Amino acid sequence: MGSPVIYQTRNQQTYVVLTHNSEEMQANQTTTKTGHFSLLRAYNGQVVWTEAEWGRDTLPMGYGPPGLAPSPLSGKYHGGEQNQNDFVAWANSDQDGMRSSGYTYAFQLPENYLGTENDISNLASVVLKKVRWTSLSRPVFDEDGSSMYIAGDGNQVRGWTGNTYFDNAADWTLDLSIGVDGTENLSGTYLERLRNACFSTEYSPLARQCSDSCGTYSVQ
Amino acid sequence: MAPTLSNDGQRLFVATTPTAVHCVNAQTGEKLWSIPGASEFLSGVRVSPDDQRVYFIQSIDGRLYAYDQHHGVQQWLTSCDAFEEDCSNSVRATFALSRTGQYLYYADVLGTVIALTLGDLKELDLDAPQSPGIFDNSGGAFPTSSHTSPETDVKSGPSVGGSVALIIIVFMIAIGSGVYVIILKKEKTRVRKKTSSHRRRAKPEWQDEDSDDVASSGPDPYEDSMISKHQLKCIEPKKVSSEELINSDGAYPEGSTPYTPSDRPPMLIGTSNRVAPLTEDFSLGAAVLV
Repeated sequence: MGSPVIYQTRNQQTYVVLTHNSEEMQANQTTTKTGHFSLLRAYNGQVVWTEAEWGRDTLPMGYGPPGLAPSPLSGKYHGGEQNQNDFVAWANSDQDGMRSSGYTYAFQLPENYLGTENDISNLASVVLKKVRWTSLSRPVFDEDGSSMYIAGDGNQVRGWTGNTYFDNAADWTLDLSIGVDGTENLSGTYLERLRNACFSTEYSPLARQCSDSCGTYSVQ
Repeated sequence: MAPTLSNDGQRLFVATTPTAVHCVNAQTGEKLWSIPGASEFLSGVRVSPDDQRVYFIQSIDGRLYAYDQHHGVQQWLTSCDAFEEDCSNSVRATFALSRTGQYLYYADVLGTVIALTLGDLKELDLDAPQSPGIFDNSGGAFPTSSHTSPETDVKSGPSVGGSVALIIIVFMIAIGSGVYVIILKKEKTRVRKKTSSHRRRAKPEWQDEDSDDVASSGPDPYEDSMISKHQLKCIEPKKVSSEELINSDGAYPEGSTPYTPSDRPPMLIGTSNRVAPLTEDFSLGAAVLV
């Protein structure tokens, strides 16, 4: 998934964090996606620490991109209270978001992190919660890191707001399945819905052109 | 695609498949409005720094839309055929909006990068004496001209009194211009204050020292006058009235004149030569893979 983000500690240490996935060959000659989380030094790209999903007691699925809350008021998970280092979260992502269950994860450097060998050896990401969805997109946070929002598969969005910890159930879930005509109607093929969304009554399956008052565009 | 949160944390914008953009109350999860589209919005959603506008690009044809955040009303749309003859390029990479909300950049799948300035452009009368004011009463962005010349009968020919009056006029123009420049500089360097509970985030080395711009004051009208104009073919932008803005959610102090730079339709700054197909993240400060 990549999409690195810049991570800073309270004592101005700067790192780059990113999630990335690899294909692991199984004994039955099939491959399964495995997620990795890595912490790199910003000035030279040196890998400070990396963690693989297959080190957990769960079936690896792959990671989605990380979202970062810079300088939060506190880490909003049990064990992260009063930690104001940057907070990173991500979710499982597998089979283009078609999995029916997964986990949400978080990473935050300890409050007193100095970068020593002992500090690095004690680093670990945390599992926030087991969930019934996966996500291809990064979590989004508000300005002080006290609210988190994740768009998951099935056109669902979830929000953790107010005093809700991120390792608890979301405050709200919203299903945004909607057709192009603004209703819940998802019937018809994509091209049929595309035609219905255009204003012109002329529709050529070969040319696949739609026209409206602002000019024309082609469907490739 | 990751949702986008408004700067005040009140509204969440989500682009979904089937194709639509939704506005959701971030606190309650209540859906506020939805905009269906003809294709996916793979480039995501961006919000203006004044929390008045939301922008998204229709992937199949690169049409850029601007909507009012609070009411879901379309303000304008533009497409690349306004400035390119052969234009049917899709846009899949994420796009970037400058911190002032003045500039928008996106790239199509063929690798052409398009830069737009957001907002209309009034003719600036450079010959007229300039008053120190920046915003006129109509909500526009250009200084009003105030003629300060005394009533002098120029037909009678030059005289001592006339010469003195002329000197006074020139002196006042110079002072007014100087004050105007000072005000512009102050507007550029004013920074947004954070609450005392937030640790000030260290600025990365690569960030420009002068880039602490003002998100709330909008584009610089003087710079607007220097940017070239290109006519757009599409619909006229819908302007939200001052009353609607004041009554929307108290975004502007009562009695003040709201300034909405995001109201203005975009203008092309320029396009690049095609570098490489761009389908991934594209944002300010990020390296573009070539």
